[in-house]
Amino acid sequence: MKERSLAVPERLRPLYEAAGEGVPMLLLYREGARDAFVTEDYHRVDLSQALHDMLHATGFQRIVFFSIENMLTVRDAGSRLGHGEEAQAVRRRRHAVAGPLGTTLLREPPRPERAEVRSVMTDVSAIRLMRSLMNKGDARTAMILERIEVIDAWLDGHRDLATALESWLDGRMGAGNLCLLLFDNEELSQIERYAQDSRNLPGLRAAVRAERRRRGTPGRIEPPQEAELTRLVHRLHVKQGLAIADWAALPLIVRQMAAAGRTLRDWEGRLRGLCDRGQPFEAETLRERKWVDGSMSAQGDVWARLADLKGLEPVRRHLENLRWQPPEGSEPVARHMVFTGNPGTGKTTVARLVGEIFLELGLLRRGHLVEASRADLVGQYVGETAIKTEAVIDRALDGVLFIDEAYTLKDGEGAGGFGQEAIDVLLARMENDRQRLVVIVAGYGDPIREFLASNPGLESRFPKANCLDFPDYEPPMLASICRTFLDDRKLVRTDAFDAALDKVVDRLYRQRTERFGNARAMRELADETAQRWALRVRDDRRSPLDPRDLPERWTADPVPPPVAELLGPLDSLIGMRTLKESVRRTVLRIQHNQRRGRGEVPAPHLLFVGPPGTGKTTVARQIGRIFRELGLLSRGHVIEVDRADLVAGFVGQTAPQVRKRIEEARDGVLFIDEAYSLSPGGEAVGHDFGREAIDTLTREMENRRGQFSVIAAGYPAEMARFLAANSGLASRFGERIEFSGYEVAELVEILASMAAAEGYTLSPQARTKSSAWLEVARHAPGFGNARTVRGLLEEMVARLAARCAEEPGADPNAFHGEDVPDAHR
Amino acid sequence: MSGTKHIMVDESAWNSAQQAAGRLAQVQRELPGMLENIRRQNLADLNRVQTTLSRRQDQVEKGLSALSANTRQLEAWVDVELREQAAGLTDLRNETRKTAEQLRRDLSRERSERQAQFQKLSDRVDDLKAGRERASEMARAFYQDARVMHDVVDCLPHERFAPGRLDRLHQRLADAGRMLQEQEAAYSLGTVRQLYHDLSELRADVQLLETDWLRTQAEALTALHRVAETGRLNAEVPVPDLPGATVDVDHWTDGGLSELLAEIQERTRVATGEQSPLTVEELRAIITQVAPGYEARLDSLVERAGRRVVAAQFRANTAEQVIDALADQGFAFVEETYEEGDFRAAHYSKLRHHDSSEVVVEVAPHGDTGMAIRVLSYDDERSQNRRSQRAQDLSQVLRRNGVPVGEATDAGIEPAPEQRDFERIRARSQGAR
Repeated sequence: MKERSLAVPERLRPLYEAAGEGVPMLLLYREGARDAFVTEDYHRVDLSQALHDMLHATGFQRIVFFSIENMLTVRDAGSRLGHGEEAQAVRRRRHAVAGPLGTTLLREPPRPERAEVRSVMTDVSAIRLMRSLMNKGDARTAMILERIEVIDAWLDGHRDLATALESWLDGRMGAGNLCLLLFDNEELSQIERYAQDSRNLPGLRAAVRAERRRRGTPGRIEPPQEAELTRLVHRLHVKQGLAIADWAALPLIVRQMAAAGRTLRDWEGRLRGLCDRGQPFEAETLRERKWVDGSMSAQGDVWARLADLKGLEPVRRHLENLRWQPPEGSEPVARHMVFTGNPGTGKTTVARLVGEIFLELGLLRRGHLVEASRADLVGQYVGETAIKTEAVIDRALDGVLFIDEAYTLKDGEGAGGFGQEAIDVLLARMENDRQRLVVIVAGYGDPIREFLASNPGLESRFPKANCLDFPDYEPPMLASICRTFLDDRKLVRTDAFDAALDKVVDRLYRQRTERFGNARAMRELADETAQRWALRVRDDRRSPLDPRDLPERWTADPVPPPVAELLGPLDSLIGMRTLKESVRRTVLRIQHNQRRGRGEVPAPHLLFVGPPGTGKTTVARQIGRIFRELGLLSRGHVIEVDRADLVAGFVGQTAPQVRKRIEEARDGVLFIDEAYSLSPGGEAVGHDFGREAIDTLTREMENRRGQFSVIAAGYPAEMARFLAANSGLASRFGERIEFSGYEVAELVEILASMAAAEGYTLSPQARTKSSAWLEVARHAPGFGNARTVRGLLEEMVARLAARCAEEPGADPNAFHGEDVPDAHR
Repeated sequence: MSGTKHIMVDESAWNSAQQAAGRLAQVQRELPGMLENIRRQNLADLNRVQTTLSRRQDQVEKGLSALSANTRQLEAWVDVELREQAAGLTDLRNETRKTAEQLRRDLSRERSERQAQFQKLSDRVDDLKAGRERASEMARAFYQDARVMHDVVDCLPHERFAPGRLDRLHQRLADAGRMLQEQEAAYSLGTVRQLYHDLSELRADVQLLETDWLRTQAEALTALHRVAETGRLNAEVPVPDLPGATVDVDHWTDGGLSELLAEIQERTRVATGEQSPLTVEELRAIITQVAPGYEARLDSLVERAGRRVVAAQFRANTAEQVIDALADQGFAFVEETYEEGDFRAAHYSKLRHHDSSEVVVEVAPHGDTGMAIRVLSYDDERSQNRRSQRAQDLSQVLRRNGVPVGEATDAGIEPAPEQRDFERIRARSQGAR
């Protein structure tokens, strides 16, 4: 059996195995189902012959072909449509009847007009025989029905066959018999759609499902692979004199031919054309004629191109590591991947490269890339989704299915879409076809993570190691991308322009939002710049680019305000001398860096350490303003959060929540009061998601450096614990600003200013008395500085109100001594 | 619709098809050796006739040697002519032979000349009374010669060729003898002379008629021999356009050739020998009508045999086509036989479908060249519609394969079980042989 199976072309091997397992019904589809084959012994056979040989090797004694054109035909004497031993004895095509003149034929039977058409069975006989052959189990019979779509249309008038076919589809036939249906349709999903509409063959749907469940969908006959194409080339070389220019290059050319996914017939015709024209078989010719993918072959070795990947170090390392695969076990390994990152970070490019790498490694047969979005996968009405999704997956088989913004598949709350159906189909195929399909889901990090987390099946399909994060491009990379776009337009850059461009890109990068378009943003920048250039130079097309051509909104350099002006509002605050000093130092350093012009100066993250009520929130607001005015943050607003805002009650919710807050604080300040409450040993008991919050925060502080500023505030001792919670955390904070407690005089000033803010005045007695009160309070535990002052003011207002009620003539806006409570220990 | 279907073959189409198949078988008349045989036979016949005639002539001449000088001269001339006549028989070239008519005319002219000489002599006797004695002497001499001639004629087959004439002359001879005795002989001279001349004429007539008869008999026998020989040599004729193939004419005409040859043999037997009762007219009819009739019959026999052989071969071919056509429809050949093991009879073939149903196809002759196809279906199919469809299908398939069949007609009966029993058909044939 083994030697015989050599005659089975590789492409029919899965079918061969399925047929050998005694499957009663098989479907054949895709281009290969109309193709020719070159077997391992260099014979060229058409599909019928190939099927015949394959089935013969599987042990079928009778192999019968049925088509509307030819009715029943057989390809060897063994399959003669007789029965039992008699059939074996009658080997001749005709039985000769002897007459008085022996077996002389007095007259040849009239020849049909077309020589190759021989007399065929009538419909009735054919159907009768088919039913008989299939329903008996005397000899293993394989019935191949060619072009089932045509047969189906014909079935309307042939109820007998329709019912017989239906029962075969249902598996009701003689033991060991096989029914093979040949489809014109390309993909299983098309057949499924067809089956849905078929009146005569409702059982087809079940057959389609069965085929889909079968590992490797054996009925899918693919275009030829390298080995077979190599044999074709050799064959044509020997038989037709195909001139092979460079034998050494043959494997590479053949690989490109295989990746082009054309049928053997196609290649045969093309290569014969070369022979006829006396042209040599070489890569150049094939490329010129666009027979092979030009881009792929022009760019050369996939590993070289991978090495050229700029700005994607971790991704590149991961892909390069793919080269070293462990030995394969019996279970096929899933190679699906997750790409997270902003748009324009090269995910699609890398996905394409992944396909080529797998092709190179022999893990995928074609390695082509099929991109799909929700619209490609999800249908509008019931049942459409599965078919659409299957169709897309069918197209992507042996290659890479790239689903960008995969989370859009998830149906919105109460939206009632069919997204889940698409996900389910995807899940099933990702498992069943994992040898032949690599699915890459891509999108923004969080939504993708949420998406994967939302479906345990989905998460488990993507090996953790295959989750690749695509960071935003660094400014130099971005600038270089932008230059490429400009160069592509044949615009001349000057050094001045390049320098200006670097700055603009820096700023763009610094002020980028979460959905920063990276390369896409660079294209937009290049487009806008080119447009501005065109408007400026008008007819003078040779004029080079000028910094003026860059969009104004990015070039307009804000004039940093003088330090005095910046710090004015802060200085007007009461006390806090050390604090004011350290803020001033920070501002000066930033301005210094800005002046040096060596790259962008990001807004630093700050630690506010000090007792409560020492004006940390107020200062944070001032910091926001100052950073904005310095051009470090475009908004400078302050988002105040505490543990409750960051830490969620359920697994997996904390990180998104943290990110959400960060997003709110974009271009401003995220002020985390009592930050130490996040650290373990803080308030949390049992499950502590605080650590998760800290980890997320730590990561984002680095990743989105410059986009926002974190100000973590708290008591000195507890803040030390907070910083220890994540080893990287302390280094993220640029400045530590100490808040000391106020002096009594300062506190009284605060009280006066607070009262003044509300239109009250303090009498000297009131000042003295409150000074005494504060002196005592300052030493009490839980003293809240300004907060305690605020409490005192409230108390004073209450007393004033009471006094005014008793003395109708009293000034309701003036605090007297008696309005201040007595100091007591 | 029953399980039996007749499919008649469209005859006109069939005939043209047959003609297209090639020339018909024909009687071979140019066979090597055949002419030689017939020529030898003919020569033997004629030699026999010549011998008979020579013997007769010797015998006559011997008898006539007793004639007087008066008459001998005349008879000698006749003898020469008769000998010449007999001698010319073996010359096959007909035109060089003097015909009997011509001879008779010559004899008649000669005789009138002699008659005139005798008349002159007789007149002289009347004139010269003195010559009466001499006249009497001549009368007695003529009488004597008449008696000699009478005896000679009596030895000849006169009763056969000139029945009654000698009897009448014998009477006149007796009367003349009596007159010579009773009266002056000289007066009887005219009567006696006339008597002699009549006897002499009878002798020539008988001898001429015998010659004619013998010659005609030989010719008739030759004609019969020729047709018999042709028949024998054409017992097996080649099939036109098929080198090496022959037709057994007697077999394919159901013994027609043997019958013809027997008839010819009988006719030959009757015509053979000197005692053959046939008249010269009858012999001549053999030559002009009977033998050509036999030839024509032989021609038609050979043709028929050829036609039937070709028709039988066509039936075999057709049976083959039918089997082939049925095989295309999923039937497997099981067995075949000819009825009575004879190619001339119907051919039966049995085919079995994969679903175990059976079909027996009978391809039977219809007349010499026609054909009738009968399809007997033995199956469990009870659907009339499907059966009818199958019959229609079969005729279509046959038409497509070049068998000019018409539409199938339903015989209206279920086929009998014994019609599928080929052992029985074969056993019957063995019993018959």
